[in-house]
This record gives sequence, structure tokens and C-alpha cells, in this order.
Amino acid sequence: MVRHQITPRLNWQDKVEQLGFGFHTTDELYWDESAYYSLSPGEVEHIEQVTSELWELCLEAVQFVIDEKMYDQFRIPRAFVPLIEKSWNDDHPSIYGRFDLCLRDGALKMYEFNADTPTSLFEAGLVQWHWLQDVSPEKDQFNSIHEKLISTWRYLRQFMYDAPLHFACVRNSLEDLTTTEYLRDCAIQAGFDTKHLYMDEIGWDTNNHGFADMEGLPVRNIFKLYPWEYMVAETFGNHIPSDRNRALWIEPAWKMLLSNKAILPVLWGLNPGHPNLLECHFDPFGMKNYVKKPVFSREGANVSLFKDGFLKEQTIGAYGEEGCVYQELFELPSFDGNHPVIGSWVIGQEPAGIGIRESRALITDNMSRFVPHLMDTR
Amino acid sequence: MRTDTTARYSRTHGFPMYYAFRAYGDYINGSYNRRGYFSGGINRQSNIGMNPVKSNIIRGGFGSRSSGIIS
Repeated sequence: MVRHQITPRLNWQDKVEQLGFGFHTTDELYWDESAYYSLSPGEVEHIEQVTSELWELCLEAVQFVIDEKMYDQFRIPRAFVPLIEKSWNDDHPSIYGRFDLCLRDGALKMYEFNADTPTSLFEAGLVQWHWLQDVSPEKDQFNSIHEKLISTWRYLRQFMYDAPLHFACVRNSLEDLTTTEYLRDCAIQAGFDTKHLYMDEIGWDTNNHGFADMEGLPVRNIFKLYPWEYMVAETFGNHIPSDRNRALWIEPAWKMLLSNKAILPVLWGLNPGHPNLLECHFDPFGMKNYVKKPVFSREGANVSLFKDGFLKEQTIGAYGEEGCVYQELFELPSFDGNHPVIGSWVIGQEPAGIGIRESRALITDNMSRFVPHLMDTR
Repeated sequence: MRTDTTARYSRTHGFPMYYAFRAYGDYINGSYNRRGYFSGGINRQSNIGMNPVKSNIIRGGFGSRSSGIIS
């Protein structure tokens, strides 16, 4: 893996906005094409093989958590346990997830799995592909995200209700709206009749005891870019178990277990010494070099990094009261002070490609920059 | 290698676009200015009105955290 500095395309903002990418710059640059990473075919094959294996390990870990009923450690409200187990046992539709991986000195380690509401999908699937066509069309990229999204939606149709597929996200977040609309776009191409609505627009029909859209019609299939841990804590969460329509929520409820950092000690406990996992426990376990992560943390919030027993770096946020896990420290590589984390996508149960975000700090947070990549065959 | 296919849009989308959502902007004196966003994806019915059909439906029970929730 090599970092290259290049001159951005002329009028690159216009080019990416033509694709629908409106959040390339916020207070700081987010889409950064002044650099790119090249990976060898061997590195790509390694990432692909490890992603596939980690996905299998994650599914085994979910089964273990359900068998052992470890819900208290995951802070899962009891009322939602039947929903989680039903969604798992009935194999409710799932579209995607993203592993955050560190590639350093030939070793590939999993930091965490963003199983419920991963984003940077649009940038990885579409924007960096168009960048490659402009910059180096003769080269390839580890990227079949777009095709796999369409083919997976098409495959999932047979397991869903013969009803519109709704897509919901929060208001006032262009990033969330774009990600949701991109997924909806792919579903349209797969033949779905779709509707968009915001999370606060989802209605509860007190006569029919089911969720309803803005036209008062039943919601039966719904993709939501909204965390399960928020849903179960909000007013309407209590309606989900009594929903007469038994709406299929995507991602399904069992993803509550995989998106929770408490899955990391479970993975390590089931697979101690695995070359692609980092040692992880519910307490420091005597480790001197470790990262403390809240079980519900997102985008690197409330993460503390300890080296030789001393706090070296930390981020702020609103998480932590729900408990923490302690993960062995495995520092990101440095390319002139830039630290890249590899987001490796699983779509339809298969590895589908990567997106690379880099930051100046060792903890990758929501101010990281998305940097495109290509596969160098020379 | 991959190909980018073109979405087939239904009439609900309003705009005959290749993507469900896109931004637009222009350059003034060499400086880029974002002007706004097209979106044909937002349902025209997306309002909380007084239509009697909606009278049995309560809303707002989800989405209390309205900032980006990405991970």
C-alpha cells in the first residue's frame, strides 16, 4: 500500500457534485483527491479473503450471543430480545456492513464492524470509481459495490413483502440523505417501487396497529439509516414488537448485536489469537497498550488510546455511560503523518470493495478525509 | 471491471435524472459556489397535514436525534 500525491482534477468540485456528492467539503475537506492509495493485487486479495473470513466469524459470534443470551452485556432491552431472535432465525433481509481494518507491515487487523448504519458507501461505490475513470482509466479498483448493491436488492426481493420499499433517514444531514438516496437508487434499478421519508415522518396507525407512510399506507419493507439503539429507546420503538404488519426493517434487528462494540470481546473469546482480530476484553485485562471504546460509540467518539498505561489520545462525544470494551492497541501506519483506515464492505454476504479514510490523528473520527484508491498491477 | 447502469425512474421521482439526488453549483471569479440541491426523491405528500385519512396516524415517535447518525 503506497500513498501518492497528485494534482486534483480541474473543477473537481463540479465533477463530484454532478454525481450527487454534495458533502465533499464541510468545515474542512472531506473528499481529498490531492492524494490516492495504490494497492497491489496481492493486498487486495488479502483484504478480500480476510473480509470474507471476518464475516463468517461475526455470524458465528451472533449465534453465540443468542445461544448464551448475553443481552445484558450488550445493553439490549429485554422487550426486544424476541425481535432480535426472530430476525436472526427467520434470516430477515440484510444489505450491507463495513469492516474497519488496519493494514500495517503485511498484517491486517479488524478494528470494528459497522453493521447497522455504515456510511461512506456512496463515495466508495460511485465517486471514487468516476475519479478512476478520469485519472487512470486503464487501472482497476477494488470496487464492485454498485453492482453488488443492485444484485443484492434484486436477490432480496423474493424474501420481502410485495409492497413498496421505504427508505428513511434523519433530516438535516446531507450525508445521510445522500447515502439513503444512493441505496434507494440501487433498489430502483433492482426493480423495487420505492418511497423516501424522514424518520420523524414514520407514522403509527392507531386503528390498524402498524407503521404508515405519509400517504397513510402501510410500511412493510423499510430501510432505515438510523441506529437500532436509538429506535429501541424512542417512543415508537415500543410499537415494533406489536406491529401487525410485521414490517421488515433493514438492517434487521439482529444487527444490533454486531454493531455493538461488545461483540469484539466475544469475537476474541471465540477465536483467541486469530491473526486478523485484536485482543479485546470487557476490562483492560492487564494490557498496557490498548484502546477504550464505548459499546455504542460511532465515528470514533469517546475513544481513549493508552500507551504504556498512559492516556495518549482521546476524542470527545456523548457515549460511554453504557459501558466500554478494551481493545489491544494496533496503531495505524503513517504516510507523512496521514493515518489510513480501510473500510471493507460486505454486501449481500460477500466482500465488495473498499473505501479509505485517513486522518492526522490515530483515532479516525468524523473529520477524517476520504481518499480514493486504485489497484496497481505493475 | 464494472459498468454504471442508468436508473429507471418512476414518475414519483419528478425529475428525469440519472441519480436520485444531486447537487448543483457554479463558478464565480474562479471560486466555486454551491447553489443548492435537486431531489426528486422526497415525496410530495411529505407534510404533516390535516387530511382526515391521516387522522388515525401519529408521527414523530422516531427521529428525535436529527443530526447525522453515521458510523
